[in-house]
Amino acid sequence: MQQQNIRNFCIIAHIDHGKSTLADRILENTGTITKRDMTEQVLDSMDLEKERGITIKLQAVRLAYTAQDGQEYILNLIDTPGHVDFSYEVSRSLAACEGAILVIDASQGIEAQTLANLYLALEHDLEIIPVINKIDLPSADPERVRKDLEESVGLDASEAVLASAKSGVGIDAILEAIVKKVPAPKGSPDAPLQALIFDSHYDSYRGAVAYVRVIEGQLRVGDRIQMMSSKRSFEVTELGIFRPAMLAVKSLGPGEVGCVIASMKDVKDTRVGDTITHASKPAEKALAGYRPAKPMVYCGLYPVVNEEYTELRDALDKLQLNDAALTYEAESSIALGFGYRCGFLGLLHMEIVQERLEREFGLDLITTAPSVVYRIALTDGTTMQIENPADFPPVQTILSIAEPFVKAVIMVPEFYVGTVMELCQDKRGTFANMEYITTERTRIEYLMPLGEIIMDFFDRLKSKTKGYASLDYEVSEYQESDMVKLDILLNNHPVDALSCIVHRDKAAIRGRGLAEKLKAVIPRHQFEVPIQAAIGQKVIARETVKALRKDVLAKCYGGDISRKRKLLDKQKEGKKRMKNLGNVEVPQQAFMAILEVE
Amino acid sequence: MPGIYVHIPFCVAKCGYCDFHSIIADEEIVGIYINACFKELEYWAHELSNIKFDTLFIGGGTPTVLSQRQLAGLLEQIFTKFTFVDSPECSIESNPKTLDYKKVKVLKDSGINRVSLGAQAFQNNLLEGMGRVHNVAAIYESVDFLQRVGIDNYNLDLMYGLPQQLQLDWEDSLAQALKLEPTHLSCYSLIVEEDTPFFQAQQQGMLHLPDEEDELSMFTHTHEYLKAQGFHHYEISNFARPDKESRHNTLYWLNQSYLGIGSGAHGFWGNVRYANTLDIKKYIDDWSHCKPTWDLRERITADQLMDETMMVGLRLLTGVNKANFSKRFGHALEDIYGTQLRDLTARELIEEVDGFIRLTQAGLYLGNLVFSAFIR
Repeated sequence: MQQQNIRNFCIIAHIDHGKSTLADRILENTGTITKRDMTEQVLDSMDLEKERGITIKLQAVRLAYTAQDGQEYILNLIDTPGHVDFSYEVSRSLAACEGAILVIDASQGIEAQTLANLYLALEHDLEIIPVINKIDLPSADPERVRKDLEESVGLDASEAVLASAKSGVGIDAILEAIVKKVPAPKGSPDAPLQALIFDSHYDSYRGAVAYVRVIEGQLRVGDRIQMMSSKRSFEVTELGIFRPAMLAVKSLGPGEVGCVIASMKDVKDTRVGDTITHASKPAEKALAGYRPAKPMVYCGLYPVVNEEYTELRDALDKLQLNDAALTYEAESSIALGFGYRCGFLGLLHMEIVQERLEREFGLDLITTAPSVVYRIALTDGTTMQIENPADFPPVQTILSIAEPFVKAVIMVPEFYVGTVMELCQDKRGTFANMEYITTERTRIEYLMPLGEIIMDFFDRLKSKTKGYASLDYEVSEYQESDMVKLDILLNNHPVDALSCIVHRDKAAIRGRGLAEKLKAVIPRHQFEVPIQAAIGQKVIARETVKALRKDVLAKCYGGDISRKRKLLDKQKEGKKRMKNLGNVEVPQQAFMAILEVE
Repeated sequence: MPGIYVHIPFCVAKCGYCDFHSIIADEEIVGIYINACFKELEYWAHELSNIKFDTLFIGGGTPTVLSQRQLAGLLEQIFTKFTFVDSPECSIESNPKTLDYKKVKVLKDSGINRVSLGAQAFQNNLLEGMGRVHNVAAIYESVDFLQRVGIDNYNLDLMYGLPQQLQLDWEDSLAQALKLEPTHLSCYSLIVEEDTPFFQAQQQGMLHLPDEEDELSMFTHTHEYLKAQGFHHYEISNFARPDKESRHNTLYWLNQSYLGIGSGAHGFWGNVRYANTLDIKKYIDDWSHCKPTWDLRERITADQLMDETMMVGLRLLTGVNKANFSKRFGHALEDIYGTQLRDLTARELIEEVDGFIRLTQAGLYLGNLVFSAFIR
């Protein structure tokens, strides 16, 4: 295939604007997949993605398309995630493309993530093809969206394609626009090999599989390749393209997208962002353009059963290969035993990792309250960074504490501006800016502590605006705040895994809320269980779980011992999932309770 | 020694709290059902011709909704097909309003020597609230039949923690029950089971149960009062005059073998626990082709058997005999349950007395914590 007939593109959109459906339709129209085989949203192959309707992992598919000019083209569609947590993965896939389809919902208009993703795409010099989707909805107003695109974003929207991915309208026009507008990949087959790893996954039979975009040179089966960062080398045993099932090929030339299998046993051999070159004729330098993933939110992950500790480590090892943004290191908690401190891009990312660990690896986990990274200046002149409340230094040694702030951009209909501002103030936000983009869209900018955003900000924002608000944020700077460590004592024993770092003004409310929540989830025991929230020695809230007075099955009916056993078994099963702390059986929900406290 | 349980899943009416397997009796179905039971009895009798049984318990439902003829027929089949020890305990469950002098006479003449009567309460308003078909007068009447016929070994079932029930009502129920000179009392606390009218009422906030403290003091009063009146508190919910403990129920608590006959009946034979189909129609159809269906059939492993022996054995106030345990299982109790014994002893829920592991006073109230600890 001629290099000038290759087009590499991705689809970017705000969540729910119809990206996955559009991808499905494109696969169908190019005959990559027959209608009969079409399961809804084939690119979202993980169960979790289908359930939540979001795209977490990117994937690449090769499409064959005969354009109106009579020529055959190869279109490589690289799927990208849409959620704010995953902007790093978006940036990786963008680096493998020359063009991007920007999907905007014809009734919703421009949202926070539309802009965030668009700016990322422009940074990578991608050709943008605007697509106004869902034009067949009664509430659709494509002309308004077109006007907004031109006026507020400065995009030439005159050639924006009007489409309905759901009913297949406009798909051909999109395919034509890709062929006409997206430039063919540059690069020479004779140059030293440079192939960008934009994703990887672990396959239990083949080992680590790297997804690459060849930028320069030619990659062939049997080649001796080298990873430019680790200098480790391997022999290519298999190359493949996706249509969407893997199809073996002999070589990949400049501009082509596919996967490399080279019996790489160690998951760390295929670091996302690395460049693959030839061992015998290496390229001079590695490809640039990758933003390293920086975890913003940390939490402890602990197996409910301590023996599952090594299984958790293996699972994290494997997940990390599929999820370059996940970091983890071993830690231990007095309450929970051995576990891992994990770093995530955001709260959704955290939830997804947790769910994947439980679902795909069958682990039972306890998650501690999420935390950001605090910078603490000490009286001895040094500074320490902590992301775990357990590491909080003695109060008398603290000079000041700084926490990360983000620039939060919220897009919302004018009607909700007051509500949103109230919420932001409540979350210790400082007003920065407000713009009326259109009569229906107002852009509000706040400087806010990330620590507040990761708790329940997004959920509350959504519920208070009936789902109309959209959010994007980027970390801006550290600022000093009056933070304190809030401890929780169960039965007079402090539980390290329940501690959290909060703003002093919020400590009382949080402490009370937490104590109440714990009271509701901790089962009654043989003895009374006091629950206390304290700052240092000072108790600021107290609740009591009353003692269990009577718990005994009354009857033995007709010798139905199996049923009795099952009842007790059930009781016991529930108990197994609890942690015994200071003689108190604490259910898993207790550790997440802190998230649910307003 | 083993026992036989026969289930008669028919009642005059369904009570509001009842989740037992029973339907409202229909004369035609009852007749066919009894015939199906005969087939099942025949099947087992053939298999177990050389076994001697110690106890018979006919439960339900309300077995005494059966006619005199049906009852006589059923008992005749049982006693001709199976061999019993010299003085077996042969019980039948009954409810007031389903007995008359003649029926009791037939029962006695057919070999029944113990009756368990569902009195439940001695206040008409409470009986009505439970959906019982009888009133207080009917309890007296039934007991009178038993005494006149000469069945002097009878149990009264009583319930506490009932909707609208006061502490006083419960004390009164116990006192009135004793006046009827039963040899045995079963005092159950009401448990609101799913799929009962009580459960629905509770969901809608319409069920006014005594609060926890009141229920607790009814429980405590029961123990103290009955003990003072010379009853032996031998199982969590059961009290007896000396030597009048229910032999059949004790067999369950000692985790011994028993046959279960009839739809929904449970049995434990040859280390297999089974439950006959709950579907009465299916039960009848099956036995017309002599092809039984089980809702449950599981072989109990040695470990399970030990666990269950602890679980049910600790219901007896004398507890589990350590010597018997090691004789039966070939392992010392401590070797199997060392951790549990230490933990529960430290928590003062169990204690060891004269070679028995038993519940403490605190353990009696929190039995489930103890029983579940032994399920591995």
